[in-house]
Parts: sequence; structure tokens; C-alpha cells
Amino acid sequence: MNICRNTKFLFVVTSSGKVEDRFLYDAELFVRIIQSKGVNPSDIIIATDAKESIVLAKCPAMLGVTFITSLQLLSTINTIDDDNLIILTDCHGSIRGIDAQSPIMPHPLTEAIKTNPSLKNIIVFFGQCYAGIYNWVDLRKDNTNIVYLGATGFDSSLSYGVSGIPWSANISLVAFGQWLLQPIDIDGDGQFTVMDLYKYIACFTNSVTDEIEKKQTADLVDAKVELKLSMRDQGHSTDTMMQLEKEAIDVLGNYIVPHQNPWLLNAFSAQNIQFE
Amino acid sequence: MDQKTLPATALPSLSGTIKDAINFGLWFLYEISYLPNPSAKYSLATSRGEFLLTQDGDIISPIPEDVTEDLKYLFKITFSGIPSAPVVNMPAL
Repeated sequence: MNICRNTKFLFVVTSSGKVEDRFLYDAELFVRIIQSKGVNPSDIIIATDAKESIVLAKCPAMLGVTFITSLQLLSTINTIDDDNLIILTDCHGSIRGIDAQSPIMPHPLTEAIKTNPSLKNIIVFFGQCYAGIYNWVDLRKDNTNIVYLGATGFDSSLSYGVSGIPWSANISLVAFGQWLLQPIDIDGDGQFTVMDLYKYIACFTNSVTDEIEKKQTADLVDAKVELKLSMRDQGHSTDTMMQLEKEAIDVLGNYIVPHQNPWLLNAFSAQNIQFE
Repeated sequence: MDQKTLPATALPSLSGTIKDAINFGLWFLYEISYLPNPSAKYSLATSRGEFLLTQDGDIISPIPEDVTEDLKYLFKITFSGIPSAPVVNMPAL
């Protein structure tokens, strides 16, 4: 697979509510990486429920890409006429599927992929929480390689600050990008395959988790104290500001470092898909 | 978009907790220019919505649905003097 030829990249940055800016920045980071590798913006599709003009104002690297809504996602996948498709999801997820105007569930997504008559190699990277619900589906199709990669199983996915990235970024997606920038042949077969990519993502993610755990307690102490103080001081705010205050307390108070269980479905296809 | 760091005393109507969420890279504060409402100086993008704010950080309104190119994002803002985002080094594998 040559990612600059006959290949479409499709980012799923969707939401039933507001698409969080950190997800948009994750996608933009990846767009910058693949553009640096020679991928043409016309081969990049962003499926998002955010307003295009706002996205472009915040993420200028997305200029020239194609925007679709989450409701157009499955029909778009079904009609792509390239040989290769790489789908990356980076948004919220739950046991009900990928968060979108209408949740994107495993079976319809898989059917849209499998019934596309043109695609030969398909990689789907699930970066959202509870990605494990996309595991254990039937990806077999004659003469076609379909591989699903999950950032984690039945748990939250990990976003965190990494040096050089000034927001809380999806760590597995960062790992994917880093491997594309500098692929490593981990199994030593002389090829850069999706299997190597998977192993890299798993090692990278666990390495980050280890580092976080070493420093987590000290870094969060100040924030916890702040939380207690603000819970005491809430009485002076307007209603909307008080609501925001509660949401900020929730978002910080619920901030955890979940262990990631990266997974791969369809190992033979993962070995078959080679990156040139 | 360029970044700007303000002292934690700026936008006094925003609580320390909200500023923490911004510094942690979970929420985003932007310095903006918005011609239809010149008193809107900042925009706060949270997990659930985005709001226009005054110079002091008071909420004016949610971003209008029909907002167009009138809204310009000038700087991404973080705060000094309060905990910054925890960061780990990029793994060298």
C-alpha cells in the first residue's frame, strides 16, 4: 500500500452534541503528518458534525479536504472507488457505538466496508472509548484485506499531554502517526506491515501509561485542591457560569488514566498489508 | 493558530477550575474577533458547547448557530501561575 496512491484517509470526528476541539486538533495533527508524507488533501475526508467554517478557522491544515457529516459516513465508505481506505475514529464512544448524530454501530460500519466493490485493503483504527465493541466481527472477504485496530477494549481511551503537543491528545492516534513518520519493522520480516503498526501502537501506549503513572499523583494534587476550593465558592456565580463550573469539576474530577488494551482483528490481513 | 499565555488573574470571572481544564488541554479558550458583537473578546470551547465571553470572562451567549467568517480565532490561550497540563515525553521506541 502506498498511502499517496489510490488511498483515501477518512477521519471520523463526530458527535451527537458538540465535537470537542481536542478531537479536531488530533485529526489536524494526523492530517499534517500524512500531508508531510505526500498525501494530497483531496484524498482526505473528514466526517464531522462540527461546522466546517469553524473547523477550518481552528484547523487550517484541513483546508482542501472533503467534509461530510456523520449521516453521510456509511454511504461515503460504501462508494469510495480507491484500492485502499484508512479510517481513523477520534471522538467519544460508548457501548452504543461511536458518538454521532446517529450512533455508528459495528455491524452497519462493517457491512458498508465489506460491500464496497472497489476496496482491496482497509484499515480501521478505533481511537474512541469502548473500541472493543468493534472486535470479534466477521471481517472475512475474498481477495480483500480488512483489519480493525482498537486503541483499547472495554474501557476509556487515553488522551494526555505529550511533549510537543499542547492539548490532551489521543495517545494511540499519536502513536499511529509516529509510526507513519518513522515506520519500524518490529517482527523483522523486512516489511512494514499493519502488524508492525499494531505492535508499535501497543508498546507506545503502554509506555505513555507507565510514564503517566509515575508522575500522576504529584501533578494532580494541585488540581484536586482547586476542585475542593471551587466547590466551596460556587455561590457567587451566575447560573450558566455555575453550570460551567460544575462541568469543569466533572471533567477534571473524572479525569483518569485508563489502562489501554490495544487489539487487532484479522491478523493474517494485518500481515498482508504492507506499507511502501 | 498562535498561542498566548495570560496570567491566572486575567478573565477574573472564570474560576480556577475552568482555567485548569483549559490548561490541561481538555477545554480551549480563544481570543477572538467577532464583528457582530464587539464586546465578545474570547470564546470558551467546553465539552458540551462553545460560549462567547467578555474581556473579564463573563458569558455573553453560546456561539450563534449561524456564525460565519465573522468569527476569527486569533490566539489559543493558556494561563500562567496555575498548574499547567501534565505532559510526558514522546516515547522513543
